[in-house]
Amino acid sequence: MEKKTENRIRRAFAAKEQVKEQSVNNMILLARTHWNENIRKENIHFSRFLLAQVRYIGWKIWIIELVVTIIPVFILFKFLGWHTITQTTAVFLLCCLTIAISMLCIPFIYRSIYYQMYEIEAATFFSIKKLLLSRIMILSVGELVGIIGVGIVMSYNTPVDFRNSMVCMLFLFGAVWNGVLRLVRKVEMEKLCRYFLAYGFGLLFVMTMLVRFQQHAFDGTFYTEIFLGSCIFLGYGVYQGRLLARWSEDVCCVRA
Amino acid sequence: MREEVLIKNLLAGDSSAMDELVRMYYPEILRYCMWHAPDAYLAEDAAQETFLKAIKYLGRGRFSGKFKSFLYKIAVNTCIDMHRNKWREHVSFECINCEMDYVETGFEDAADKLMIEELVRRLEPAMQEVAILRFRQDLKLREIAVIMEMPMRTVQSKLRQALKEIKVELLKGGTADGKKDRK
Repeated sequence: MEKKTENRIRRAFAAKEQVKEQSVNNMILLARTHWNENIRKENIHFSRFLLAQVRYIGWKIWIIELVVTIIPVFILFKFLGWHTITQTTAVFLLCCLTIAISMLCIPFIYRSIYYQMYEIEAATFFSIKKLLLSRIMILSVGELVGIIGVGIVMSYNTPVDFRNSMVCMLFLFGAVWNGVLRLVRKVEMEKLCRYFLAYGFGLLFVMTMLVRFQQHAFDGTFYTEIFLGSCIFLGYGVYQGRLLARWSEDVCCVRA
Repeated sequence: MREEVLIKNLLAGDSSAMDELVRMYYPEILRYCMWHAPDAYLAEDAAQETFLKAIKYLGRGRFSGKFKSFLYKIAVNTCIDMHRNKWREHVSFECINCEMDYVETGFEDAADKLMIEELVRRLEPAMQEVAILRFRQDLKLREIAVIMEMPMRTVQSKLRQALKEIKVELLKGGTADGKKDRK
């Protein structure tokens, strides 16, 4: 029975529209012109492209990162005072800042995917995943510099152990950005922001629970384990970055 | 395969290979865009944009697999983009003289064709797309799976569902083989 339906549909679509020769000739001319223009363009190395992205990210994003990193921390200290900062509070604050700043990327990534990256993808040699990787790399370096700066100031003004705070922060930094890279590798571009938000809030929740029920995690008791964990994250992050950088340049297209 | 040879020649600098590639696939892609576009002019726009995008990616070495499936993938997404941005508000003032030529096959067949087209348009988007690629564009299931980025089983399942729905609608109005139910 379904074979009859199939045959009937095929018969209905059997009458094909005749394409005019002029239309084909126009396309051939257009294609040749486009091909000749296209192949003359130079391809640049990824490192040069990476440096160019610093300018394309824009000063507004850097200002926002600076504002979110530094000002709330100092306003908090001004009202609460440095004496209220304990080892646990310091580490918790640094870790939450790490997550919060990385989540700042979300509107940027969303905007990039929705408005810019498909055009850039079409105009350049690099796929959308490589573009995203380059921007994530630059933003994460900026975030790291900011957080380390806050950590230095905090350890200068309080009895907080700088080494322990930095190791805990680096561990969480590794967790955040490895998660981001994995999502970029595995999730469709259009769903990336949702997954990233869920991951960020999940990490914040875990941090809050740890502060409440397992404060020893932050006081240096597990320093060696956390340090090893940070090294593993660093290695895995480099591995994921190289995978993305070496990925075949698949075209990422918009879904309905 | 001929297309592999052509692409190899094209990348080696033989731009006449481009002519042959266009002649091979442009009519097919244009017919595909005709299904989605409000009129022939916009279909031509979409088909041209598909080829221009394909050329850009080809020139930058960003292409893998079969060229035909690659072209169709771009065509599917170009039509989606255009539908979202340009075609939604479009009012067609298509000139009758500019219509593409159809091969006339009789009034009953023409009425049946219109009915089948209408039923296909009523299908859910993914099923409609699979049905169009299979029956209108004569693509193989494997090719459709690559274009739609679905597993083969999903393509088969969607096709079965589409046939089932169309069959049900046809049975409501007549018999599945096109004969009116004379009772």
